[in-house]
Amino acid sequence: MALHLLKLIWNRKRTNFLIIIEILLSFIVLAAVSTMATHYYRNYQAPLGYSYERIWDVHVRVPRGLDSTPEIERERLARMVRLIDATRMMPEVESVSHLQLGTFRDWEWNSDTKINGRQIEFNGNRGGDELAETQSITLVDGRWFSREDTGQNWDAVVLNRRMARDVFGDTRAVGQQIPQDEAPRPGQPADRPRRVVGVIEDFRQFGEYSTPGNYVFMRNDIVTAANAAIPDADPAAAAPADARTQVAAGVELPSIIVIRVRPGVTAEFEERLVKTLQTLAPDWSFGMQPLTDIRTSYLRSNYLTPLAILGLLAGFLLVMVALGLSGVLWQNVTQRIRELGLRRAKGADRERIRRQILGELALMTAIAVIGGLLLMAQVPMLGWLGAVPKGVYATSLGLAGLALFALTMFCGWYPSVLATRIPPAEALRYE
Amino acid sequence: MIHLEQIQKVYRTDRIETVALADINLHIGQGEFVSIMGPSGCGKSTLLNLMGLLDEPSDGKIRLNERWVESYRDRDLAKMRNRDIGFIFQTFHLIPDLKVVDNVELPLLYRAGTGKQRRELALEALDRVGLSSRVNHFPSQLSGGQQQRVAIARAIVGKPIVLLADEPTGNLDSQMGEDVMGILATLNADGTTIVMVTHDPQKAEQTHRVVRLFDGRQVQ
Repeated sequence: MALHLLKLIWNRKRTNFLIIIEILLSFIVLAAVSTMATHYYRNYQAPLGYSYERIWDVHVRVPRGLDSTPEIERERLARMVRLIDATRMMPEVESVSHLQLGTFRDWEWNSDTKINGRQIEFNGNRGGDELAETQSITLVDGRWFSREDTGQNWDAVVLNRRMARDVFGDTRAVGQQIPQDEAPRPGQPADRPRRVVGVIEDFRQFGEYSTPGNYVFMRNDIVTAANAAIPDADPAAAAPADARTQVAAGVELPSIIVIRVRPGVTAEFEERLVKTLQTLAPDWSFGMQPLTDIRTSYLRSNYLTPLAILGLLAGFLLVMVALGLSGVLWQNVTQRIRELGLRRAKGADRERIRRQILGELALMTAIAVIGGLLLMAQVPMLGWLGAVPKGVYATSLGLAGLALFALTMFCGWYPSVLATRIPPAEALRYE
Repeated sequence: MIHLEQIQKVYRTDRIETVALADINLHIGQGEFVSIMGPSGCGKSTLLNLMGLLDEPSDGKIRLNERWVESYRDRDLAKMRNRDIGFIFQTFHLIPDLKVVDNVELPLLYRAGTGKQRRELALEALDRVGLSSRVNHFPSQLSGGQQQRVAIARAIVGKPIVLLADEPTGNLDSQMGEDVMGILATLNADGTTIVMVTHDPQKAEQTHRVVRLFDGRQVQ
């Protein structure tokens, strides 16, 4: 019977061509939508790596002129330490730390490095010693930064699990130094060695829908840097200070104070804290918000609204396709009423007629889906997949194919039922 | 073979009730060649459709090949149409998108058998109607007489016990009509029961018996 149906489809290729093209285009739309949906669903399912409940972010804005000197920078760091200490003293605060690049914001430190002959891309950040505790960052091996990392001849780093696997494979990352393939640029000092002190589950700075990637945390030891002496102009005469300047290397003024508040803290706390901070740093400005609010607004503007619009458009398109397909199939069946009557006269029962119509449709769908798959297979070959893993793409194509079969069967079902309602004698007379 | 008892067929719409057939009692024995005659609209084709289980009577009973069929479900009726009955229509009803041989194979698709068996039976049937040289043609490439012979091959390919022909020569010129009647006579001589609707008294004379209808009633 399948061969018979294939013959019919082939011999009616002019009529069927348009149906197949319509199904093929629908497949491409569905494949794109399902790839996005699957990609974002998988991202959402992956661990975020930290908590945003009861976390408040204080965005510290420091006016920076062209007059910055090491002394001014040190004073700024010292003032930041005082702000954090003052925050810690407040009874509503459970824990406090600092972060260079805040979460759920489009602040990015994206870099790559060559390690063991492989180019490894990563996102980086700098955090304080209490950040893991404050933001409940999930450690899977080793430890977070602590005072014991001060004064070492290496910089402490914490990697996420993915980065640790990328760099060290199955070997345990904790205690190892990150290998550096690249030589320092001419005239530049060699980078200090970076030693892995801990591995975290993840730190998805850009939220649940972002693509999980490699992540590196550097220790931002602002306390030591704030207390460090300013090196002399003559480096040769500053041997004891040399170690201290090394400690200060890689330290940046944090832009976010991260606070974990006690349960039940209300918005009134925000006002009091900002007043306190403003007293300590009158020329700095502070923006304070619960991280849940920042997250909601960030996800809405970056993911949910665009996805909803795209989903709505795709849904509308699919409804139009479904209506169009139903219409075309109904017309197709109507034109074949006499043929269907003949088939019933020759021994086909209603069920067989229904199965034949749906079988023809399934074959046409299969042809369209195979054509669509050949076209869509070009996407990864041309490198257009972006952050979407190939496995997710392949799964999405499979899902799109299945959904399309379901859609065409749904669209073909009613015309097939109508076709079998006409008694054979009447169908044979049908004009 | 075919037994009709007190058959009535009434077509009803919202306002109108049309009696197509009333009080039809008819028996057609095995090996008979019977023609049904009557003016247009007297119910000849309706009667043939009822005999062929293509339609259901409003009242009365039908027995085909010793089986009363009024309680049969769609699937059972389809099986009987496939195994026991062959249809020939005035307008041939060939599927234009299928080759001659594929058209002839059509009834065999609805029963068990391999593609090779189907092909052998179809070629054999086409050989019987003298169309062996046209197996790979499409219906549009054939004359009216050849198309009707394809339709006859399709009707006999499943070796039915009865052939129901609805004005099989109605769309053909006299020579082609005679050819078709010759084929039907040969099939009847081989034991196939044939019931034929016709307007043509000359064609009716070539059959064993004539059933005449007038206004949905059997008059002879």
